Amino acid sequence: MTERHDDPALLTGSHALDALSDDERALLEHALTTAPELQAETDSLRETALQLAYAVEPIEPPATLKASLMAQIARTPQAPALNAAADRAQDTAAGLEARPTAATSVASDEAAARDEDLAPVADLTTARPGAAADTRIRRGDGSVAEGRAAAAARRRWFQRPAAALSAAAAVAVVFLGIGLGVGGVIGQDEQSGPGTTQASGTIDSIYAAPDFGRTTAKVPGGGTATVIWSHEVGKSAVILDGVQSAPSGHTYELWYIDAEGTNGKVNPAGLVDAAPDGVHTAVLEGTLSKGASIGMTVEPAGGSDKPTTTPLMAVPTTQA
Amino acid sequence: MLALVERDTETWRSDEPAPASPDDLLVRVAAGDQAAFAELYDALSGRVLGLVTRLLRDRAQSEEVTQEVFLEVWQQATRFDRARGTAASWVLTMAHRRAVDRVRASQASHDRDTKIGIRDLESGFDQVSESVEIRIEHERVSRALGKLTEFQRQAVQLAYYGGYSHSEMAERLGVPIGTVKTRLRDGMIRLRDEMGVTS
Repeated sequence: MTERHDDPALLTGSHALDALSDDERALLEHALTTAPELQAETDSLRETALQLAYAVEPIEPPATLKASLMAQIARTPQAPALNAAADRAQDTAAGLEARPTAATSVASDEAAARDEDLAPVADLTTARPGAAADTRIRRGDGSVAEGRAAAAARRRWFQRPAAALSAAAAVAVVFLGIGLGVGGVIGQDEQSGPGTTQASGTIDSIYAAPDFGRTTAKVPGGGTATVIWSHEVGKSAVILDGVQSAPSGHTYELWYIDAEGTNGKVNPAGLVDAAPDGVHTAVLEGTLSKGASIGMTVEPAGGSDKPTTTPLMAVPTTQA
Repeated sequence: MLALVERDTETWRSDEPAPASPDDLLVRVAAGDQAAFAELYDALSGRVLGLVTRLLRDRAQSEEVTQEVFLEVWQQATRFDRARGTAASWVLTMAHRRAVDRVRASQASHDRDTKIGIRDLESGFDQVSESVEIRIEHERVSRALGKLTEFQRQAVQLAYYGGYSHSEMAERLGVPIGTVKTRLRDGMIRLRDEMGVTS
């Protein structure tokens, strides 16, 4: 009971369970170099933790995963073998993964491996613009849980499934990263309706919400519409990327379509413009009700009270 | 058609009389053997995806992480040291590490917090497996976990299956970080001794 609270000897269990922060891991791994007993305990607990892994029900991945991996490795170089000493150092890190805290002798090697690692992934899944930044973020801040809302939102956004991450999403990230609080940047389009004036703040709060939801839909004629929402915030927004401008004398109009069974009402939620080479974002006017869908139609300039054309998209705001 | 496939299989098998162990496969992977990689993937990908999904819940993200893990296996196979553990351990260790990184930094983290309470995390362990092998492992681990104090068990499960960090757990459980560390260490030592793990 003489152990101090930051005694590295206390950290062996957490290390085995991957519960340590980078700082804590560095502390323990430094201590391990001079404490064979501690090393033995660390190894045995890591082995014990693996028993927890073996008890988990396997899930067979889809065949496409293997196919894409085989294609990937065919053009991915392997890391050169390390000498024994560096190997030990790296093994101590236990994951054989790039870690800022890893022994300096292997650090550059690891960084190189990491870059190689990421490049083909980004290459394969074209919609993975966040891959590189993702790593930087993880490296740069040891304590991921520090939680500035915007930063957290950005990180979440970056790390959404590749398949669903559209170019619209990527550009939106840039907006969030540099343009938050600058309504003019996001709402560069004057026709976007009153919702846009508070766009940045509202969008930020949607991203930061615990029930943040998002769907990307293809828009007929090209481009994508990404809808983000939070029922807790009671708001949603639409990000149009590469969507053609509405025909002359027309505009895009957004709609809240109430859930069937409540009243199924369709409420106008503001106008938004688009440009084939740009990104336009609009926060929907009004409040997002539970189970509502978000729609977009082409309407005569100035908008309509009721949709007069077939929706270009209609996205339910249920959690995916 | 069938005969052709069979013959192919036989030719393949004649090179590899018995199914190669993951350890042997990984050594061949280190030499750039893509067929060995395919076999290793077949042997371990289900476990990797199962484990990653356990932490992330989201299937799309889990598959993505699984892909990252195996790409890393390919790249880092040259650094696998048989003397320090089995190939399966090596791969699953990487998988867990990556899943934890992802769960802490991603959307999954908030899904985990909002959708999955501590009780869910724990009860999720009682799922009944169709595989005898897995059921036996379940049984073994469940029994060993049963020997831990309730606090230790909760801490170990939150950390391993939930990917929670010290500070997150301390906040979640309303105890000091030092207490979390102690519970995790005592819990893991108890688990080790109950399961007779030697290393």
